[in-house]
Amino acid sequence: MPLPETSLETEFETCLARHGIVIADERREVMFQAFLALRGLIAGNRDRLTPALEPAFIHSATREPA
Amino acid sequence: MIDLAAKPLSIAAAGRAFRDGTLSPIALATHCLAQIHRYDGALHSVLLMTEERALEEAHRAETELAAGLDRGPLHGIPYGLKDIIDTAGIRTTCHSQRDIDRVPTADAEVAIRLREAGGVLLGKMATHEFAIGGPSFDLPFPPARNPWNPDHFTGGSSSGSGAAVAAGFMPLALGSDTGWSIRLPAAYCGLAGLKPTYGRVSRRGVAPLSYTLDHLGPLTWTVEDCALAMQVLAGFDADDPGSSRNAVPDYQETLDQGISGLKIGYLRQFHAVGCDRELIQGMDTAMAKLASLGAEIVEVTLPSMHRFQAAQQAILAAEGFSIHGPDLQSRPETYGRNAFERLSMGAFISGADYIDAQRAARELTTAVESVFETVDLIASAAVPTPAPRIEDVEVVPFRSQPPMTAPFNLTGHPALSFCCGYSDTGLPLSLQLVGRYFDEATVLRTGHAYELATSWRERRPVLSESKQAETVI
Repeated sequence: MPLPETSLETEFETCLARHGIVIADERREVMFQAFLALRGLIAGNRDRLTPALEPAFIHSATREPA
Repeated sequence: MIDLAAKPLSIAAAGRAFRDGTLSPIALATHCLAQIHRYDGALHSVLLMTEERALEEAHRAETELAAGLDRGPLHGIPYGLKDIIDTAGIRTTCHSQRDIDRVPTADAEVAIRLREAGGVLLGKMATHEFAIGGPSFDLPFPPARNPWNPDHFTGGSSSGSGAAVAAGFMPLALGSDTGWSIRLPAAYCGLAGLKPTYGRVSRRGVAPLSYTLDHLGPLTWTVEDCALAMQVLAGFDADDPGSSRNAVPDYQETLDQGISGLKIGYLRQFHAVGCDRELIQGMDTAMAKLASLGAEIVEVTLPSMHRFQAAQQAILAAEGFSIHGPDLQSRPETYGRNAFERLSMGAFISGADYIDAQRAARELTTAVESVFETVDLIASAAVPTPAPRIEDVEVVPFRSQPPMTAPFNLTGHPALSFCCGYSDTGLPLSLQLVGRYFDEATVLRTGHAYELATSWRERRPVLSESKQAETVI
């Protein structure tokens, strides 16, 4: 299920705060859009992985074998 | 005697001239330095000239060669080092305010190899800040400009290396490549640029951007010159944890053997990523030329570019942040805006994201390896278009569509981009050849055969002294 925008904003702010990264106010929206683009791009790295791709068959207890 | 004003010399041509007595290393070094003084005001390819050292090294080379001491193909050859490569006693800035006063106490391994091979260091070359941020106008030095048209982008991050070799200031410059940073400037500036196999060339003493994606390699005017440079650069280094003990072959030995019988997989699939019509035509024509030289061309496919990009970008962001995170936090004002923002993207990568990306990388590597069970080489576009105007380059925190070079940083295969023609506006077109692990020799042999069969290397940029770059903010 897609996360609501407010959750993404919270994640964005939390990640920056956790690492002590300070973004200028005028660059915040640009960085937020970049965050969304990165997040969207790398989502596929996880979604494609299945137990069948894991030689030891221990990838995830929550998924059925492909 | 050689007329240096006629056209710049390749490494191979200069080496022959040194040995038949028609040129001296001092004359070549002096000419190269004069060309930089005369033309680099418009191109900004060199951050720091090492003029005194260059003349000393050229004098030494001349004396040694005259005495019969021959250090090999780079003896007396002028070169430049991207300014992320440490040079003992010589300022190494990474093109950044953060390191503006940094003077290393030791040479990088590649700097040692070039020095011991008798090379002549002309200077430290412009780069995108920390090999990631640029082209930028808020740094201590302006961005390099493309000699084919200074209004256009050189590509990066080895921007000064690409511009200087294309301008004929030097026949060799070193670059680093984490996703495209050798092959992109090589493509935009009409050069041969080789990203060797992961582990083939030591990275010790070079500012890291990504531990598992970084590679070092040469940018030269010809593919033959790449082979000559690799003979010096390649080899095991116990102090680089990623370095390989694989034996280094004699690249020159096989360079002229032709490509009859080679099977080349043509990856048209990468054209789908917004490839320019002229570029596709240039590549199709190049593939036909390779076929006429005896290669068999077959179509191959790989997983989508999107999947390679997803893994490469996650790993780059995480590893870059691991390296720069503390400084992004404690002294952000010492970074230019683009490097700061691009490196800060790593704050959004979790441990699980990184592991997922590494697992995807393994799967994608297996897919590339399976293609190499049926072909000797893979050919694809390196970039989707000729060099854009520098003012049109999207300088953003995150680039969702990097060039078609990035997949082979993820997999570690050797990849060469080289010139395969020119656009209607006179900008270089390029082709990428990818080889099996540690088979740089076949990649270089194929590129060399193509260059010998075409006339693209006869054309050079026309330089202008008067063209002024934009004011640095």
